[in-house]
This record gives sequence, structure tokens and C-alpha cells, in this order.
Amino acid sequence: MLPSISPTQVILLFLVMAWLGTCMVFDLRSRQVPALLTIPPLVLSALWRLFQGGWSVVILVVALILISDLSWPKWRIPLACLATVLPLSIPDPSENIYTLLVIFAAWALWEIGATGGADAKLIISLVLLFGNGFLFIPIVMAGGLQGLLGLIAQKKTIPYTVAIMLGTVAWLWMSAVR
Amino acid sequence: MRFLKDTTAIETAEVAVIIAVVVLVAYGAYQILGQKIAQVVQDVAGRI
Repeated sequence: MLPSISPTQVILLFLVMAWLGTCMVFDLRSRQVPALLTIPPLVLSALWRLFQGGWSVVILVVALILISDLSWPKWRIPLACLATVLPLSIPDPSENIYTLLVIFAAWALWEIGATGGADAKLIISLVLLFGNGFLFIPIVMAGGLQGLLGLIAQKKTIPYTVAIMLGTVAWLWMSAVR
Repeated sequence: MRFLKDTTAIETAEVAVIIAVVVLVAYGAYQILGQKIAQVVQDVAGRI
């Protein structure tokens, strides 16, 4: 079944895919994604989320960025947990628990060294842009498949931006056909 | 701004698989247990 999407959505999809595709190229070449491709999209998606009324999730992102600079490494994750739980106590019908948890998870995976900063920023930007934490599931599934193929090919590291792009495409398709 | 300055895009293959398994198990548990918990709550509410 073909999805029904508006011209505006087509343009947005094209821009998002072009952005993710560019990040993927940089990742495949050098395992680095320039700050120019991660920070401005993060800021723009945060502003978009604010415009949509999702102030609690944007405050969480800002809090996590500040917490990552704390001089006491052992306190970073506990403080991040607190920063994630606090917005849940505030009634905010525009955000759901999964969006907050996914943002925390992406940051926490970076904090413990399991993922790169660029990957975490991309995931957080996408979650802020689309306002749905369930986007994380197809990304993680694609990443798992990619990891499995990497293990079979005896590769230690994988370019996770490929999984981010494929997972996002899969999620957008599933959302459009529903 | 340590988080903002980090431009690395590295993920180890094992970690990617582990994360996928954990999320899959958590999502599956949510789907299975979520319905059972809702049913129990409804039963209790009905008795009250």
C-alpha cells in the first residue's frame, strides 16, 4: 500500500534523508561526523520541538548537555536520571515518557562510551524533530542487524549512521502507511 | 561542551547487538505484561 503524504512532508523527508545521507558518507569515510552536521540540526529540532510545545524534553536535552561537563563523572548518570524523571512529574500532554527515556538512553550510551557523540546527537535530533520516542526501536533493530553482520564479517566497529538512516526510513514508512 | 564537541560516530558491533536485544526484550515484555497488568487492573476495578 502506498503511503499518502503531502508535498510539505515530501520536502521535509527529502531534507532529512539528504542530511542523514551526508552524515552517513562522513561516517563511512572517517568514522566522524562534523559538528556542522550535528549541532545546527540539534538546535533546529529543539526549536521545532519548543514551537510544538515540548518544552520539557528540550529542557532535558539542555540539562544533559550541561551535566556532561560536570567535574564529577560518578554523579553524571545519577543527575541525568533525576533530570529525566523530573519532567515526568509535570503534566505535559504534548510529550510522552518514551521520548524522554529515549533521549536519556541516547545520552547515557554516549556517556558510558557505548556510542559516539555524533550518533547520540543524531538520534536526539530525530526524536526532537518527530516527537516520537518509538523511532528508537527501528533504529536499534537496524543497528542490531548491522552489528550482527559486523560480527560475522569480524569487524570491531560499525558505522551506526547507516542504522540511524535505515531505521528512520523504516519508521517513517510504517508511520505513513498506518 | 563535551557532548556537543564529540564528533565520533563509532559503535562497537557487540554493543549494537546487545542494545538491540535489550530493547527487543523490553518491548516484548511491555507488549505482553502491559496487557496482563491492564486486565488485572480492570478485574480489580470491576470487583470494587
